[in-house]
Amino acid sequence: MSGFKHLIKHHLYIAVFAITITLLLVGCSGAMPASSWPNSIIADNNLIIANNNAVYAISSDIGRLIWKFPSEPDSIRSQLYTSPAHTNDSIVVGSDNKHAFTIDIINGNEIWSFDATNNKSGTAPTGTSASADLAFFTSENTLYALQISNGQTAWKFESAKDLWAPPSTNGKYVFLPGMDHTLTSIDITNGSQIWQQNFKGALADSPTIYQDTLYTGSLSNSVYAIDAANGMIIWEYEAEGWVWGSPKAVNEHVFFSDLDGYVYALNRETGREMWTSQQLDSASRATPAYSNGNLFVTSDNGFVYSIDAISGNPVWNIEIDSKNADRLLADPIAHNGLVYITSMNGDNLVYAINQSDGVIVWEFNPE
Amino acid sequence: MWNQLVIYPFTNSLLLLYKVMGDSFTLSLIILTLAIRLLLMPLTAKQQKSQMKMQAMQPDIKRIQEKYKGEPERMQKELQKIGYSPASMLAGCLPMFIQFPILIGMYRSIMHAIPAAPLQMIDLYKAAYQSWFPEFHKMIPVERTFLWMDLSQPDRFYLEILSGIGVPVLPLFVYITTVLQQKMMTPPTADPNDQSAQMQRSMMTMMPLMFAFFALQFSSGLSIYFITSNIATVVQYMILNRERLEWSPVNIAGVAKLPIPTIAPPPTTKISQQSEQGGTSANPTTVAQEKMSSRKAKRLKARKARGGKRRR
Repeated sequence: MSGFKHLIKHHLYIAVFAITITLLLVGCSGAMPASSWPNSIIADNNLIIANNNAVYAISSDIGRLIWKFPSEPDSIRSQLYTSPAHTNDSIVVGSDNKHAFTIDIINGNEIWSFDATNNKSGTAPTGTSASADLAFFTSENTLYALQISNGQTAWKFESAKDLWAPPSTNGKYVFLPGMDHTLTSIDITNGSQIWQQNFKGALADSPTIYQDTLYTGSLSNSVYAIDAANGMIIWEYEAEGWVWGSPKAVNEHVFFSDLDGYVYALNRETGREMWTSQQLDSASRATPAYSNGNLFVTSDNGFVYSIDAISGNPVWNIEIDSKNADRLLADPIAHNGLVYITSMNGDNLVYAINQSDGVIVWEFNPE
Repeated sequence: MWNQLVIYPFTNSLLLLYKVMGDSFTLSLIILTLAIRLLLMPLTAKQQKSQMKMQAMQPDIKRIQEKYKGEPERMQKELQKIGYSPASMLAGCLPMFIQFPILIGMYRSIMHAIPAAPLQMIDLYKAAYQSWFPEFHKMIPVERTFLWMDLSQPDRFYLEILSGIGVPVLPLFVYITTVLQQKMMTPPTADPNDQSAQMQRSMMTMMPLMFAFFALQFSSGLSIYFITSNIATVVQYMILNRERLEWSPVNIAGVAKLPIPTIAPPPTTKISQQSEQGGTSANPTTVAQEKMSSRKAKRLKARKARGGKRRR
């Protein structure tokens, strides 16, 4: 009997030991790490934010919660970090367990969901964008074009490697960036390939469409201007670090930042450098926001910078939630005199900042 | 600090090996694991020796504990006489604990080196020693698939006939190799009811299950680390104890009987008798080995092993 007690005791010791090691693995190393960062868009004058396992709609003027999807947090059991896409009366989001959802923009109810798991487990970064009739959803190496009305697959396109960013569309063609260092133009009506251009590095964000030109950054430090009609490279500019976010095209300029913490302004037509900012304190992943002659740039160590778009001179900067060593990786949004910053690990999920002086106007905390 | 000292060097070593091995992350993982085992060899060899020594002492410890039940001071003295010291035994376990930070470091390095998600890719940009990789962008994204495996995801092998049920092949291999390693490294004890034997049984049940659980939950790259590490430990142990190596059928999880290399129990009977007769050194083999030069000790060991076989 005492031998049995000893055996139980020893099993207990080892079980406790096993649990401790598991916790160490999970705690110290993040066994189930966040796959991405919260993303947001403005739709119908509301701010729609996809964060962790929920999507929130909040009023853009005072930060009041309008709805939350799903209402029961456990019903999805995954991460919804894709940038939401807005079309007609619905919002499209993707989860990293390879599902896409469309949500009613008025009340946050689910309209339909799409399963891209093919009966296999695992996670993958997903991306969503939309045209008038189609929702585009990327999961693993496949782009799905789904009917907005019912979620049925209109067509799909397979890439050689993973797709981390949703495509951009001009209503006629879909421009798909790939981690296989390619940008592909696809016919929106049937999913057939029009052209494909190879680059030195992987493309991790959607290309910007401005008139008939595409602008894209790459994980090879280069930024490209590409003819949307035939995929020919118009110009290439080499930055200091990886250019992850989509370049921002405004009038005759293209603005972007890199992971070495520099912000750049180029001539949109020639690719000639107009100015380069002083190096920021940390990497800048996001696409800069632009409003009234000012750029708004975020950094990986929790700072927001306002920069004069003509001269590149700093206007103001503010540190968001210094005590939590916040990471600001999502694209900032400039709207109605405010800049919306979504935070990854701060006390609050959203900060609305005054564009003119950098003062925080309101904060939103989903808890 | 932890990143700079452990994670980043591991991550960059993995990337460097990946480049050298022709873009095979699996090979780079195996080679780095073997390199780590090689670096830890002096420590693990010490642990294995300490384990054997402890095993040999068990009958004497038990007898002394029974004999001097009411006299703790005398018991301590007698235990010290036979060379037993709890501190040194604990030090013998140290290499096992050193392996856990390496395990955690290895896991994080795998996640860093084969980023399966955007956040990890940004972390890789920070972690990479870009001067080591002049054309770093060409390596991105690092190829993380091998056969049916995605090394950044928990392993599941899908067969069409199983309609969506994934077979965890690597976790099964982790379980089997851990059982083999445990069985081999745990020589049979003289008294199956004593505390250490119970502890061993407990370890032999729980450790393979624990590692299989890790393999089931975490990326399959970690499973490759476990399997390589287990096989390396078995081979190292076979080399260190080649004189007492035997092949015997062992039951694996009640499913199959496999002939695996096991180490014959140390010669305890003679030692115990000497101890009972009031001898000062109850474990002459180990104590003498410590005193003698290593060459002499090896010769003596080999002679004993040969003699033992002849007697049988």
